[in-house]
Amino acid sequence: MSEDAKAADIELVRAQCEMRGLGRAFALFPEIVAAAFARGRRPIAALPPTFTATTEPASRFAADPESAE
Amino acid sequence: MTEISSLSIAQSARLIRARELSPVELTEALLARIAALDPIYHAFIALTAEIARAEAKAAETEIARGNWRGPMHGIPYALKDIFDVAGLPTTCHSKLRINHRAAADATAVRKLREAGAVLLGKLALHEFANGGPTLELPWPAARNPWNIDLHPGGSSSGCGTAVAAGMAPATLGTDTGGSVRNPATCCGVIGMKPTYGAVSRAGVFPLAFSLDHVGPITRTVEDNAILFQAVAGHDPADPTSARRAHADCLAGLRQGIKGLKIGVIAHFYEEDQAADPQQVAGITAAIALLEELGAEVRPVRLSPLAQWMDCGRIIHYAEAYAIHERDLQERPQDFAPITRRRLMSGAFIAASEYVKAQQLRTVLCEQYRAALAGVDALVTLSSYDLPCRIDDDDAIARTYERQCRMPFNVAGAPAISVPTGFSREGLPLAMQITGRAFDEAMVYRVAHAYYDAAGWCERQPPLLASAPQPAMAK
Repeated sequence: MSEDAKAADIELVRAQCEMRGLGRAFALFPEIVAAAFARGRRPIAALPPTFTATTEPASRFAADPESAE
Repeated sequence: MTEISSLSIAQSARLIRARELSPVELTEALLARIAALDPIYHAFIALTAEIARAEAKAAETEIARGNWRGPMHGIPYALKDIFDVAGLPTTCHSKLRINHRAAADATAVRKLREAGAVLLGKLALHEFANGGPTLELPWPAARNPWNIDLHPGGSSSGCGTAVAAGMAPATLGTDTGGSVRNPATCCGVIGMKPTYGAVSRAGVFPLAFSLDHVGPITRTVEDNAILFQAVAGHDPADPTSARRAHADCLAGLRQGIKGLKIGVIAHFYEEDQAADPQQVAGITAAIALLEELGAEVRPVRLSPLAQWMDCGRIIHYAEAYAIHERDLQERPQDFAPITRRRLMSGAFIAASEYVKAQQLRTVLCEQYRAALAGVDALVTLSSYDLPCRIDDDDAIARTYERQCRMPFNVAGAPAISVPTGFSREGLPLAMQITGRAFDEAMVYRVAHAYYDAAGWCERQPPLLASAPQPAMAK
């Protein structure tokens, strides 16, 4: 990766941190935050054949918790 | 002659009930052992000796009056320091929580109090159940009793250490991606992650709400079932607690496994990632023993391990970040570097990726249920590697990726880590046995049959000659 690209990446991480209130963390620990950024942006690598965009998520919400199993 | 500190819960309970062993005598023996060994092993963050002595005396008095409450009555136990105990700090092994005081007991703690158990103290963990062993925290990291230069596994590190070193026969930990089973694996003891919703999480500091489980770590399978039964059950204080009674896990424990069908998820450790040959040899021999015991063994395939790991990783990071966001914004320097690095990742996960992970979870859970339609239980590896050096940050970071415990957090299914022998270096090897949701009884049944037949599970770490091991006539 070129030095320009690295600088652009770091600038992107800094901007993302500022948006999320993490400016202090970035200022104190720029390398750790950059590594966390790379790890956090890593997408799910592959999906099973039965996965569709309309698959219901697993998380549960019950409007009436008393009736939820 | 039997050493008091090596008695199982079941053995102690029988002796206590028959008034051949006093809870006070048992508690004092363990407190003496902790005093001698813990300066080396660092399992405990805080000892609660006064509480222990008072609870042991109360148990002794009550049992003498003929009021024996059950198998945990008068039995000493210890807690990962992530469980609330009224009046005590719940430090989560973090500088950020030094001044905390819990207002009430966690539900699991309340249940153990009601069962008459004796609290020895609070145990070391990875910071917020998420970091790793590090010197940059207010308390030292727990050490592996099989070799103190090695990592005892985590995040319930003190639980594994305390049980393996004979400092506590019963401990409660938590498991979000393997944190009960990993220390059990590394320390050569038994660790159960029950079904999601089987044990209340109320009063337990969360790591990732939809992956967190409370689970017991003990020396024997029977002890594990005893401790599980003491803490399981519906709790209105935990919105994810299941509204169903759990099956009796002790009644069928000794039924054997003749005729049972057991699936082997071998592709996790043979194709998806290559495991250490000694770990593979351990599970291969264990599977052969299950067949000798009468089980019908067959291969089972699930999605590749990477899909389960990606699903768990995104849910874990996103949910954990939500919990710690404010502290990461305002006082990031107060976290240990390893914790900061892991927690911070969650800040950058897109909302759509989190939803996609939950969609993937639906598919994977359906697949898991289908795989169990034709078998009674599944077995697979736990860790891919042997315990690594505690000061090797890179090796410790690899342990999070090189394991197949996360799939059962994603599925919310019961999974137990059971030793499968020892490496050439004398280090514990282990496998997992898993089952259908809320079928802990079957998982314990298979684990007990194997444990009983394998023989070496009684082997204990080489301890210092100076360790007090008071003996009792038996």
